[in-house]
Amino acid sequence: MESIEILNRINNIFALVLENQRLTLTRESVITNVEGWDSFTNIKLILTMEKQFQMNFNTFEIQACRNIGDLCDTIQRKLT
Amino acid sequence: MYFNTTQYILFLPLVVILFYLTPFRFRWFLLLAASYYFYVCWRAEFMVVIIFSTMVNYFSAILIARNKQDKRKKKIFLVIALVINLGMLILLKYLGFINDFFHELFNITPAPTSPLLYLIAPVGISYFTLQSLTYVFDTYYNLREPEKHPGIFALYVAFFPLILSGPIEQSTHLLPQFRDRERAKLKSSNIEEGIKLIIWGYFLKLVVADRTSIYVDSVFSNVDRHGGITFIAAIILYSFQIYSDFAGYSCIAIGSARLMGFDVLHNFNRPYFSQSIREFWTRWHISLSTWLRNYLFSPLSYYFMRKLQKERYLKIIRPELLTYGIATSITFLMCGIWHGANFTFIIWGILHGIYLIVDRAINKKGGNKVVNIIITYILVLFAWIFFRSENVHQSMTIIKAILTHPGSLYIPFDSDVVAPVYAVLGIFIMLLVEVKREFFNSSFSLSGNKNEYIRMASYGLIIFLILYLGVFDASQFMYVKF
Amino acid sequence: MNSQLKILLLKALKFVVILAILDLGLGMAVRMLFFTQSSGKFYRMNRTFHKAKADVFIFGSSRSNHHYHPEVLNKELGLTSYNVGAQGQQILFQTTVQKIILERIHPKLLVLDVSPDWMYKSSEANDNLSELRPFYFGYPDIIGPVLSVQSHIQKLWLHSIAYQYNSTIVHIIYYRLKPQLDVDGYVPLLHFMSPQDFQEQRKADSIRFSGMKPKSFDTVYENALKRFLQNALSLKIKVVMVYSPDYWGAKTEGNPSAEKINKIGRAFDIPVIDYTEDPFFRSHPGFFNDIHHLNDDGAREFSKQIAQKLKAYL
Repeated sequence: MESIEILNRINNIFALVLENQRLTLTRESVITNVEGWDSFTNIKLILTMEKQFQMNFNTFEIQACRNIGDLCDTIQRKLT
Repeated sequence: MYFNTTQYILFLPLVVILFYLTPFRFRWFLLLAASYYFYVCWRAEFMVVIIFSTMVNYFSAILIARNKQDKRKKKIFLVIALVINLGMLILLKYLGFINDFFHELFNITPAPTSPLLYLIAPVGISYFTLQSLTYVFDTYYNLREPEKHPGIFALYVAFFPLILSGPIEQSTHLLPQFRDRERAKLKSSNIEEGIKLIIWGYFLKLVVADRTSIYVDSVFSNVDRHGGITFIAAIILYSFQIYSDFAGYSCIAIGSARLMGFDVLHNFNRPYFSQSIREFWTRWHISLSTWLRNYLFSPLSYYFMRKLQKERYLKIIRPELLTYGIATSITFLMCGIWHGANFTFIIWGILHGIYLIVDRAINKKGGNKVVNIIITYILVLFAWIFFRSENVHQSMTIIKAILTHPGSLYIPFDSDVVAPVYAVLGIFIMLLVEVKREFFNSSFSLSGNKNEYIRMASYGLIIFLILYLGVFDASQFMYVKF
Repeated sequence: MNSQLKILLLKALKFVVILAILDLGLGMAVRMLFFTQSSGKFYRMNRTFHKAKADVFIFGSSRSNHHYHPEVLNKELGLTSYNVGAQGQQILFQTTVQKIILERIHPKLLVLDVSPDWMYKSSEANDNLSELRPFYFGYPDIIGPVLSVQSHIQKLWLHSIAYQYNSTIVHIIYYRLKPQLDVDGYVPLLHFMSPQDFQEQRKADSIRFSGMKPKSFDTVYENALKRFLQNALSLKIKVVMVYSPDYWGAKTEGNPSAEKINKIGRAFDIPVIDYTEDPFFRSHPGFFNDIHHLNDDGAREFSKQIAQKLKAYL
């Protein structure tokens, strides 16, 4: 899957879980500059992504992601 | 060796000078020797504990890494490490408390007078245990390779600026710094930053914390004689005491490390300006809350979130909220217990847990900034009542007095009357600085000024205030007891 | 030399200079503020060191400060008197103050009001020596050694003017707002101890003393007492030691510390007048402000009585 498609799908997931349809993520987005995204909503986000991408993340794979870009790369890696 | 002793003020520069004179290859040895010396100044017997803990974690990490592919074996070594680390902590810190508890409840354990049950917990054990566990977990989760050099690992565990009361560092953040040659070069900016932090730390400790403690201690040692108004004054003063004592200690710790080029995570970010309890825990004892979030809250949340698949529980509770509730309750129960072997700490922890759960359930956003800050502060104050009290009964007496019997403000006589006035003066100066940094950060700065003379004058002014207003007999840092 | 090291050393030099300038500049301001006081304990100490002139000087702790009324003494003795008693201060302080006074003038008589427990080591008394810090710059050779009793590092910190005036600002402000009355050093207490006061204070004292560790002697205190007596005798100045009245708690009989004091008194041939358990004062609670201090009425009565006794030694 292309990186850009992953980003779009992540964006949709965030928009759904954080109940904010106008949300736009970039590769540089981080937890501190996205409204509603905190260590708790993060969990629902991760689990929704797990269902959507059909994979399991381990807690620390998430921790190692510093921004959305890292998350995209991690997902892309796990898909291959 | 406490930080606010002449001993430390001589020890630190000596170590820093030797650090830069020592060739990079041998610096770990110098720092380890200095750290062990620092630790032995407390009590030689404690060394056994820290060395044992170091060895256990060193070998656990290596064994975990060696069995990377075998999930079962990996887990076994992790569990062994956890059991030994936490077991030691429980044994040395909580055994007496647990024994008392069971004795009163069931009358089954030996009488509470057996000295074996009241071993003195080695200083810093709560801190270096958690710091070591970040290392073990990080190795388990493949976030880093184990540290093969036993000396460097031992240094990570015992690093003297952090050993007493943190900040609790992350192995992925601190450990690599001991091998970083570039970082270890002498830079005048590091020295200036370090000294700036240390000066501010001493101000918080000697001018604010040590003065406030006198009034607070005298009120709390005589709980039956005071009215609600006195308790409110005392608990407000206590909120500043515990903040300035701990933040002051942390500043000195971080500054000391910075003198040698090490970057240590900040522990406080003006917590009483928080607009919610949620925000409070991103500003108070940041290293601990980070640890709890990474190693307790998040794993618990993932676990329960996966398990709780129903749409609604008890007809109205969504699975996210229930997960949050369970994970938060357990995390803050542990947080309370970590602070000490007393039910008061447990209640304090649980209160904060409840605050967070209610906050999440209501999920109100916005509102007036000042009102939010005041409400959050009041919630925190209420919880501090338990944290400071000797026992639950005392807390209840205080709360009852606040609600039913205001009385009049207690003013101590003779020399003790002076202390709270100095305390208020110190708090006022501290608030001036913190309000400026919080709300007017982009405007003209003294200590962050481009002109080095203005900067130095500001540091000099703080030193003058410390010498003019500070307390100069050795007193403990409060968090050292943990 | 490493360029960073050069920058650092230059910065350090600049910083030390700035610190020195700040300490001097602000320090002078703070010192001036301190010496403009017109009432309170520091003002009285200042007068004691620089201005007080009298034939009789009364030394001691708070008991002395509140017990000896100069106007009454002057009338009875036909001499001038001055009260240099200071709260919480024991023998080390008294000897230091004595030395400073004797450099300036030679009185006829020194009355040293002692408490029975003065020979015991007291960390509180040592802490209170800090009150001498603001005067260090005027008398470094006399005050310096005494302050070293607290810690040897004092000498280092005392170079800072700010440190010399540590913990003085609140007193300065307080006495400016609420001036303290004093009569040639004497500070009257105006409360009349009630039976309830007595019960409460007796209980508080019992609790406080029951938790204390067994007392040990401090030879530094012993030597200070001997020096006090020696300093006076070498200048042919008469000395009398007095234990002033106490309502409850103080004891000279069977008290090892008091025995030591008395022994030293005998060795130097100094009279010791003991009012500790004086039956007259013990039967007049109305003369007491609290269980350990006389009020103004009590002080006037005691000053009258002690003056009669002192006449014999003049």
